[in-house]
Amino acid sequence: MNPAQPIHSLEAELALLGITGPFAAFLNAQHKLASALDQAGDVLRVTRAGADRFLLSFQCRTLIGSNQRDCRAADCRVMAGIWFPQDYLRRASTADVVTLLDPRVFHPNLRGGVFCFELKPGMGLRDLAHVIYELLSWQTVNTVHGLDDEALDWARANRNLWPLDTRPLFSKRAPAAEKEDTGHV
Amino acid sequence: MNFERALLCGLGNTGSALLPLLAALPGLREVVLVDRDRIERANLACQAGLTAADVGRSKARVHARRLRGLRPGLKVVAYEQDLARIPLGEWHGALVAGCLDNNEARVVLNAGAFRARAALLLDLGVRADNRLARVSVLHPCRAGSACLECSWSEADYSPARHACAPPAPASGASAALGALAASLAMLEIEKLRDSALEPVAREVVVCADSHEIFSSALHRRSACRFEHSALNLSTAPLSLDATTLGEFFHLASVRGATAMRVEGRFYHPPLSCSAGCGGRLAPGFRPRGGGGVCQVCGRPSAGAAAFQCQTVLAQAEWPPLLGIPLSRLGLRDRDVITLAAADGQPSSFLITLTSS
Repeated sequence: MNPAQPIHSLEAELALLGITGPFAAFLNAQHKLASALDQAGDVLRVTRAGADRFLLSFQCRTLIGSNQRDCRAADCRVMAGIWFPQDYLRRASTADVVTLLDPRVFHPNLRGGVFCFELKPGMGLRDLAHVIYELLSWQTVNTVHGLDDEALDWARANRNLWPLDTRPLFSKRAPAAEKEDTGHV
Repeated sequence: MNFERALLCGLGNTGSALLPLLAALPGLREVVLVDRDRIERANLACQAGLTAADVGRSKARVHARRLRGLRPGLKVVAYEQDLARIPLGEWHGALVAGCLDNNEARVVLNAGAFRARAALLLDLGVRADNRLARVSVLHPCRAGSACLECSWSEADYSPARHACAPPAPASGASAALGALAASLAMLEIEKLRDSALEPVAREVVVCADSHEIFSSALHRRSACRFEHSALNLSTAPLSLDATTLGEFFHLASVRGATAMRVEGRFYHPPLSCSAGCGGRLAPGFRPRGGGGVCQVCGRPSAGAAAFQCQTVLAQAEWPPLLGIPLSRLGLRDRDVITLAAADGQPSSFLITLTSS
């Protein structure tokens, strides 16, 4: 579905996309969860962008830039798009599911808008938001293997400078547990 | 049960051993081979039909040549790409054999076979540590039949290997173990061909270490993560170069169609050239992350990020595309187009080529 299109009825959109069964239940659960996540703190905002898409906006301190010379730490709003493909409960690739939209973030496990982390099929919005935030804020860095070698070098050489943001993602009551979010039993 | 078309997915340890057995199957007219990998030196010891001169070449192309040599006159199609990228219509009515080494690819195999109504699905597997050879025999066309994932547990849906991770180690299975799994699969095909018995979904495992054989019937599980939905396919013979999208809609004559999708492909909206020439990348139906060629500078250009691709193209977005030939929109032989109507069942069309 076009992210720019407004949502009229989730049920109608799911029918248009040909989504039924357990995956429809999963998406229904994610839409219910999105509102709760949006109100669970000051860091994260969640916007619905279609039946199978969400925009996550993180207000956090991160490292902006594309190389060691021009990178700088800044407090900014980082936008990431989440798309749940039709077979998401059964197989999942970070390149498909999570896209960094804006701005360009310098991180060893992030390159060309693609994140690198272990994504389990069926992982819900709440856990995805956590993983993305921990990467953006440099709370989590895989310094053994990286997507961006230059950022990997920087991370190893400047271990004392990170994490950049240590605030928890959710400052208010945590949303429902992930097991209840997934929609399948 | 007779088979005219076969789809062989994966040409490694088990697939390379199954290929010559399939070549001898009476009545077979066409074989489609799929493997995205190239041959490595380590493959020579554990995969059938390879020579040192094949190292570095495409597995799909090398085995296509081998198959043509084994059975001249057989139509052989080779896809040197990921299984998820081949047209869904390749599964339709085919004997499908999955010779894969990971469950992520098996998900694609299973969904293709059930959605496009394959005649038979065989999934082969080997485990080197205790010399296990397995074949699962499934019947996608039979109502209520178990799918491959019906017997899977949570642990079988493991996270995909992410881009930062080092390459997966080879299975270490010997050529003999691959040949054992291939022979089991071929025997199941022969039994189905020669017998009038009711076909049953079944898994057969041979443990060469303990000399034991295990066989179990597979049943559909209501909690299975796969929705078991199948498309009702109508064949649409047409020329992709000579037929525009508008003409296709006219031929399909689906009343009140509100949206279209190409199964397994994604609509990429027009994008700016990633080389920065100021030109545009033509819109079209491409794989996830698939790029294209800039209309101005002619250089390869990155496609839309997955989040920016559309699964479904709503009717309001059709007008600028109606005069464009289907080939220029990225459609291929055996692609499946589904038209959804607001008040009815979706209609799916399997594109088959005619000479223009």
